Amino acid sequence: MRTFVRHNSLSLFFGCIFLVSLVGQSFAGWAQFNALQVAEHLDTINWTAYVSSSDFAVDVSENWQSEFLQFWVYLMATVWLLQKGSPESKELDKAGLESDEDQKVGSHAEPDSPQWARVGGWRTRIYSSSLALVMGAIFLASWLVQSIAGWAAFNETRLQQLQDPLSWTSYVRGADFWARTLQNWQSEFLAVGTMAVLAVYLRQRGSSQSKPVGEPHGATGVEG
Amino acid sequence: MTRTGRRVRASLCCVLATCVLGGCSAGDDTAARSVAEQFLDAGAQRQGAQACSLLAPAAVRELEDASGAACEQAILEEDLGAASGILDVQVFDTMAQVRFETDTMFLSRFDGEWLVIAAACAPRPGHPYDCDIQVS
Repeated sequence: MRTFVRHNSLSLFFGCIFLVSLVGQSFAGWAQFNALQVAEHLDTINWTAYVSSSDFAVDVSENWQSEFLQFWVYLMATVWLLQKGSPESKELDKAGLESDEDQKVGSHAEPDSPQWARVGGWRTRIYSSSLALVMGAIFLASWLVQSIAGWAAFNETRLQQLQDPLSWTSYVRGADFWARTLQNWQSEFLAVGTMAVLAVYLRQRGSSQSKPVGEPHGATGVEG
Repeated sequence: MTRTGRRVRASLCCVLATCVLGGCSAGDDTAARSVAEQFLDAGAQRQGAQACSLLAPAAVRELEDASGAACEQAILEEDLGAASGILDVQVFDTMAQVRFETDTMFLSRFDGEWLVIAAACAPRPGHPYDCDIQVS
């Protein structure tokens, strides 16, 4: 048990702080929602109703979609784009999909390589992009949920303001949907870009995301 | 239910994740429409107390403050439409809009029940409805 925890401590840690944050968000959002209801002379709702509301759904999904987009973009960009001196970049002569030998697929696979990396054909092609496919699918699903939950929450507000609700197609062409979307995208792209550049010159001893402390600034594709 | 009402709910319900996260509650359209019809019927039958029982508390206060009379009397002075010729019912979480040929009403959920927050509403293109009865 202790070995399992130690060997999976990274995923367990992030799983725990995710759940704590999500529960915290639900209580803070619930209080915020009810404060607005009182200000509008409307009724408050209980926590269960809030966490099943479109208001909570859009607040959650707008952040999810941007996080999964961030990793999908990062996966795809780091195939082709380089950053000299960054541990986030591949070595400068390795831009692109690389050779089968480098990627250990097909006849170059090793005995303990995943089966779909060994078999070749469509299964190896799919497996070669499986991480991006899954991250991209989660991004699209989260973005779709954001658009529908955001539409419902936006129309709830419009009805409070004695205005007609909008259709979903009008909503996804409107300011609320894109303001929610782009405010998340810009912060994700800033954080990733900053990490790629700062990691050229700065270090965190012991982290897999940093170069070793004594590694030269110009060393590219070296992780601690 | 009108075609638009069905379309709104179908759009929400067809995405399972959104139903789980966003709350898809069948029957809301019917319940909101029923309260709106009861409200207009009470007005048409001069049953002021019955109509006021379907108004949100803040709307009752607003009506009484504006008229200087009890809600039961004041509401009978309002030009409410008839509960016929329903055009559309739209429900989004705690809010609903019911449109009849002669009136548009806005409702909100109070302790699980729909209550009217605005009635006798006239559309103003590009602006909120102009309602004789409303929560301000």
